[in-house]
Amino acid sequence: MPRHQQPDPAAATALARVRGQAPEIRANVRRLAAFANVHSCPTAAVAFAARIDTNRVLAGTSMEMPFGQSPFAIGRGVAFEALLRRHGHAELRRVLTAGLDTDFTFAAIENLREGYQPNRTGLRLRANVTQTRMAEIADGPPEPVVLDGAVLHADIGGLPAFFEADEMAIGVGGQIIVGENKSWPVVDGKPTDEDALGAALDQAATYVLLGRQTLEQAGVDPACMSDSVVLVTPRNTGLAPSLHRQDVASRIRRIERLLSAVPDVQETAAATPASVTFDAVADQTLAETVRLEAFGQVTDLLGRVYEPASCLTSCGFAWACRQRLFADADPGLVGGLVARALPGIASLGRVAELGQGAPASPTEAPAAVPLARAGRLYDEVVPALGDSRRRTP
Amino acid sequence: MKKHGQAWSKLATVSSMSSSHDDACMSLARRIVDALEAGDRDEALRLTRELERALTNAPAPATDTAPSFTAQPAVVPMKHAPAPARSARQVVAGALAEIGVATRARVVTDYAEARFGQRVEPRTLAALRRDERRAWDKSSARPTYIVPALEGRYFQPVRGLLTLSDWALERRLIGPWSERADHLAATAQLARQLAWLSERDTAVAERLAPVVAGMAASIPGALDGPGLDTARVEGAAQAELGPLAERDEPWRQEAAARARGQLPREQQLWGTTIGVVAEGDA
Repeated sequence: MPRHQQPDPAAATALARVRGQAPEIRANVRRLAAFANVHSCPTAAVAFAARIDTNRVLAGTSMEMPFGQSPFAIGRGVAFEALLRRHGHAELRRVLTAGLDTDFTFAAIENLREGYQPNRTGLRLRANVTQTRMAEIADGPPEPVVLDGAVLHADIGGLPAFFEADEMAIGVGGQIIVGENKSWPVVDGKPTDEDALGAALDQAATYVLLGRQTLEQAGVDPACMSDSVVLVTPRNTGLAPSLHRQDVASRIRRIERLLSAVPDVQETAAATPASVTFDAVADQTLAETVRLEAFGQVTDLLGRVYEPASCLTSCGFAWACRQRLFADADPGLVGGLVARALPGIASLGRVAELGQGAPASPTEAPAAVPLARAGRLYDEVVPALGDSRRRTP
Repeated sequence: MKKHGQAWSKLATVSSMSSSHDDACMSLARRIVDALEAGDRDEALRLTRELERALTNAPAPATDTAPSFTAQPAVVPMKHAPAPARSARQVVAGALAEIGVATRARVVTDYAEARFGQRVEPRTLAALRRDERRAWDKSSARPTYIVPALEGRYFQPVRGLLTLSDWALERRLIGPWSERADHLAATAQLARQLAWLSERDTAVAERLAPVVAGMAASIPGALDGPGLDTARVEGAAQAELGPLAERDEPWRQEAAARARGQLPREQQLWGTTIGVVAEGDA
């Protein structure tokens, strides 16, 4: 495995200063997928580059968001994975045999989850084994190989990161297939949670992309990585595993674009003002008002892009940003689509006034005409409610 | 103080026997003497047992085959406290020795509970492993240590799988086929053990049967038919194990040879520890 460039020490120092005592998190697929949803926000980009765990920075304040999986979901996940692995991976062998038209009864299964230390050293060794085993596809292994807990290595924004895939089945019809285990059930052939399905397929697509990079490094044709991935989920209400194969070619292309758009750590560090730090924001010894004020100053300095749909599901700062916008009655509160239709208007209060026919300044003029028209239409459609509902805030 | 007069009381019991019974006993005694004089030792022994039964009024055995142990056990008062239960270490080592292959802690404790009637909590095994390592470091004289299995690439310890230090290195290594092969070998062995115990100790066999059934659940054909057929379980496990062992055994030989060439004795038992790579070095 080639050695990757060490990050510039000056950039690393600058980002450590930005992070301050904020909790750190390493890049992983979930984190990457979450960032993908908010990558246009400068504050989120700096937090991502500085490896700040946005879900925990505001811990102890009223703006801390309830992220994290339910313990019941985690328990179910652990039980499902244990079921697949027990008795020498008997269930995994069975479900792969049934779903991939290849006999896995005597497949070589490398269990990379056990024996390796749960730290960076362990991840690095596992990444080495993964790359070695993946390269064997070129020799055409006589029997399929399964890597349980394969680790892929990649540079994300100039920083090295490891990604852990659930399974990688090598040598299935000359191809490598990525597998992901999920413990949410598929009832009568339909997933119970469409969002979770999308996230799982995105995750698997990321592994395909990183797997192709790994194969290229090993001098093997990256086309060996199949465009289709498998999800292993419980069937109906029990835990009996079943396999679903899905093509994720379009997701792979989208994630490729996203990865190329991840801000470079060194550029981000160079562009971040020296006064920006999340140190006080994460300091739990300070009063909540002081911490939120510090957060406001950081985001005012860096800039923020608030999109309710994506921020609320992906960023731990969303409630704090929303609160900030609410205090300012900022049009961004209702989302970027609406905010972009209201150029030059400072607040939602002013939007309501323009809708009632207030005289517009030259900067407000482009948005004032459609607002006034919308206000008249509203009054015509709901005349009885017009006076009582349309109050100036 | 020693009591006197016990022999007289026994004599009184004997004197209460009927005269015909006495005659029969005397007749038996004479036949014993005759048999001894004739050099027929077996006949003399048989007649002696008959005489013993006659004197104690015990019923004659149904057949002359091997003695059965169906009689109710006698209650014997004991002055001493019962012997302390075996230590968790002894129980685990005993169970592993009977299973014979690298085994998950849960299976070891389930088997030990069924076999020896002594529960060892799986969560205590981490402390047990640390104790074993400390004992080894102090060169304590133990014939065998409970050691972790080793993965076969870098020979790092797989702490979830237990083995014994006196097993050959090949048996303590875990490769791409080994977990399944070991599971099948363990299931076959426990099925044989269950068959043997069911003829000797039904209580233990009843406890062990669910353990074997649970292990056999993932083996195709092992649990077909009514009830738990140990021969069927063993046959199904061996049938799957055959082709798997053809792949697993050469891998074990190669990995063990590599380990012997690279590692000192200590690491062959306890595994290697690879130093922490600095952050950012990847």
